Amino acid sequence: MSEKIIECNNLTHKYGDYLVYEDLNFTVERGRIFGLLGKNGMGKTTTINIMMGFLRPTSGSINIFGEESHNLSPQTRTRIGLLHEGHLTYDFMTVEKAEKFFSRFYPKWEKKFYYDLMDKMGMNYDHKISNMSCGQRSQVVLGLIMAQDPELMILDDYSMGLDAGYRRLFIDYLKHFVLQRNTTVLITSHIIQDLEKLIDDAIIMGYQEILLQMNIQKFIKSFHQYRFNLQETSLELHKDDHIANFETLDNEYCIYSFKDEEEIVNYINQKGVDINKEDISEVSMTLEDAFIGLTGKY
Amino acid sequence: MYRSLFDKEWLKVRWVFLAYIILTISVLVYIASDLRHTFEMKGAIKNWLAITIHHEMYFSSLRYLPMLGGFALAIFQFVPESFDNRFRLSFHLPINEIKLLLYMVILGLGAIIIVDLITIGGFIAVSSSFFPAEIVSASYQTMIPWFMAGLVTYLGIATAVVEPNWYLRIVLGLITYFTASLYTQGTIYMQYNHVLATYAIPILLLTITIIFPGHRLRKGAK
Repeated sequence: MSEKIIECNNLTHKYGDYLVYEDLNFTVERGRIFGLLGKNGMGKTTTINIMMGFLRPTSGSINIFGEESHNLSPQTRTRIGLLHEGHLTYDFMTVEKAEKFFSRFYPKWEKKFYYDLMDKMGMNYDHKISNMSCGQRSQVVLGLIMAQDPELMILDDYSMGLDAGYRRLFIDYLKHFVLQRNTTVLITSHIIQDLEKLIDDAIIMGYQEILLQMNIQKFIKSFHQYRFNLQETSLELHKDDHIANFETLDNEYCIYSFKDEEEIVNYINQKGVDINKEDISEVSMTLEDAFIGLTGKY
Repeated sequence: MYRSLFDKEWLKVRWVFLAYIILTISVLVYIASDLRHTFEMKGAIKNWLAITIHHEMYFSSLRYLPMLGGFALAIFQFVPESFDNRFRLSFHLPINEIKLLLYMVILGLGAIIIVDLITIGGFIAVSSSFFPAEIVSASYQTMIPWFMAGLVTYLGIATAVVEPNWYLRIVLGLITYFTASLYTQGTIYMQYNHVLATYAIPILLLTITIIFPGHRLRKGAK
């Protein structure tokens, strides 16, 4: 059985009376890349803050390497590379000073990872971080985390403020590194398309609820989008066991479901609407399409 | 590890620290030139009477300088950490947060004490060329509470900046201002000599006060 690196048990959090989520449970096993996905404001950063002990949950707990998250020992913190939202770093430092500063804290420090990335970007070592673009800063932060050679990386909204090129660079470097090192990763983002080829498992967070928790390839394979038109009759749809989500525009219907085509046809027929398998077309989806299908556009 | 923390603190405060030293030296030069001018214009006897009878303090331009220095050092050292929640970076470092905060404070206090020593040394050098040892000694003893005010200001403002709650931050700022003001009220020479030990107590207490808002900040208080 794989070692559990992160264990989240019945986590509930409220800001005052506002419930962020209730009874969140998940585990991340060694070597897995786990996505904590959801639209803005669904509680991803809250979960990271609880995980790193910066916030006390209303109830429940998160254990990391077997220690309670709000009481992580300094030794355990050396095993965790943390990317804060907004690529937070000491921006009054230069490229070189930042490397020197962090190197003294981490016994497994490998500066090669950092300087390779800086050289690839043609970055002067005396370049002050506060004078960098958001994209350049993201690479500095990623380089520092990689040089730390952590067993667990927690990356909170790595994509914030990055253009497509820098997002790709970030993901490519990250993927290469974690596969080589068998690093466990927990990553959050609201840009889903980049993560399709990266993450193994995911939780999709909705408004005050967990919409989905499963292997990402299984999700893409088992989640379907069906489209059809009804000319004269109208069909009333609600979310239930068959319908994960739906959209209607005039007489055009779009259903998102984990059921196969035949089950959906039977389901619609049971609602008194006569429709055949030939009337329905299944539309293939990327992870982002499936994510939007599940969470809705609004 | 501590070497890294020292480098980080130095990066933040080096310019304000140098500016504080330059300002202190400038004030000492001003005191020296003012004394020379006064001695030439009014003569030694009038000066002597002004100091011994009227308790005029020829060094009064130093009264609020330590407070100003303490304030500036606290701001330059702690605001970059609290801005954008950057304290989270420090709190994720593999070092106990109480040790981390106390180390930062000790470095800041060290910087202030270095400038205080420069001030006292420079002041003694300047004063000795004009006055006998008795007056020089009484003068720098009169200044000791002012240096203490600098330490109080530094510690209080540092605590206020680390405090995550804005209401408490303002309260701490006001408490700091009024406490530090108590140390700079003296109007006669060596007025506070008999209470210096009592005046040291708030400084000792404030040295560890920062760990309370620091701990609350670490645990996510707003």
